[in-house]
Amino acid sequence: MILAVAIIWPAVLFCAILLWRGPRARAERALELARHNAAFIALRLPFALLGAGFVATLLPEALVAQWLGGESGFVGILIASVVGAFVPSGPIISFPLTLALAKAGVGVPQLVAFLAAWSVLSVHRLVSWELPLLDARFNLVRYAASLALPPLSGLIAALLV
Amino acid sequence: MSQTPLPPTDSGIPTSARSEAPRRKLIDGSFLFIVAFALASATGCYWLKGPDIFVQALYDEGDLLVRVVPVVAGAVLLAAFVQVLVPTDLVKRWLGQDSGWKGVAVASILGAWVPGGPMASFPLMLAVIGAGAHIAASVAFLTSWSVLAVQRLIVWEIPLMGGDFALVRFLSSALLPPLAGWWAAWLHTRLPDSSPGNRA
Repeated sequence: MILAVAIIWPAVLFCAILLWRGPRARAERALELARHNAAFIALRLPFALLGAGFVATLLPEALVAQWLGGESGFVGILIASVVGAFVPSGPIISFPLTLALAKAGVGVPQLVAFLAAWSVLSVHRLVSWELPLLDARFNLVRYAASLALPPLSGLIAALLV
Repeated sequence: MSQTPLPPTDSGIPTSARSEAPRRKLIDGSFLFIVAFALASATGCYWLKGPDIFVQALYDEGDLLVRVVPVVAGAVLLAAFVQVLVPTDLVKRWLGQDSGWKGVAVASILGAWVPGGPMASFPLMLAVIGAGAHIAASVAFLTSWSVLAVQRLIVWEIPLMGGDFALVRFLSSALLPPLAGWWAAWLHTRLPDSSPGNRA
């Protein structure tokens, strides 16, 4: 946590100085954007953390450990890859959820595959961003080219831990 | 990386998609989803596990909230500042049509540094993909932004999951963007160009 603060605030300061020395309109645009983003996150963060925390108490630990635990191997990696793709949210929910899964006994390779699928194969982002804004063929090629990535990352993680 | 030229493609992005992404509303479907998620899980926790565990979870999450706020606040500012500061033209040139596998390598590295979720970063994403970047570089860029995401690593992953886990996950995922780019280029030359109107 302290490490994260120590990395992020100097970066903020650096960008702020660049903005301050640059054109005034650009700085105002950045502040307006920051204000809007802050309101956006402030509304969501408390609910997201509470939701993930309560869900963590409800996870059937024995079942989760059996299907996704360190012993679940490649089958567990595949299950995690499918489940991850369907988690419909940003990091605000998925990381507290990942923490809950880790506490419930999910293995590291399975968690890695879960997060890779959530980020690369996100069905939610595909439907709400990629399909409306990018063209169909690009989406098809990108998604098909990415299908094997989450299990692959899980296998690499299994070699690393 | 060699300088092998990739087969020429256009990125397949219609010109209309090159405009800015729509501005997000404060109260929208995602907000209602998160609130419903919190209410449902709170009810379930109280009902199934009883008041003691409910209060304990409430306390734990309150504690977590207090700890993540200093990081998240910085991240919110950083995402907004970087979005305004990033030299889109420079990024576009780096990922240009002729850059071949070098473009894939650059895209795999640059994508990770684009902060923010799709709402904050899709305008840049669209600008880069729409500016004639090769499909392999475009896919590597999007994959790197989503799976490597340095800002997410700092804001969420290290504080919540710990440095060891974050390192293992990052190393396990580091090769995914160039692989995705490579496979996308391969698929692109083999899939029939069927759908009408997919060229701008």
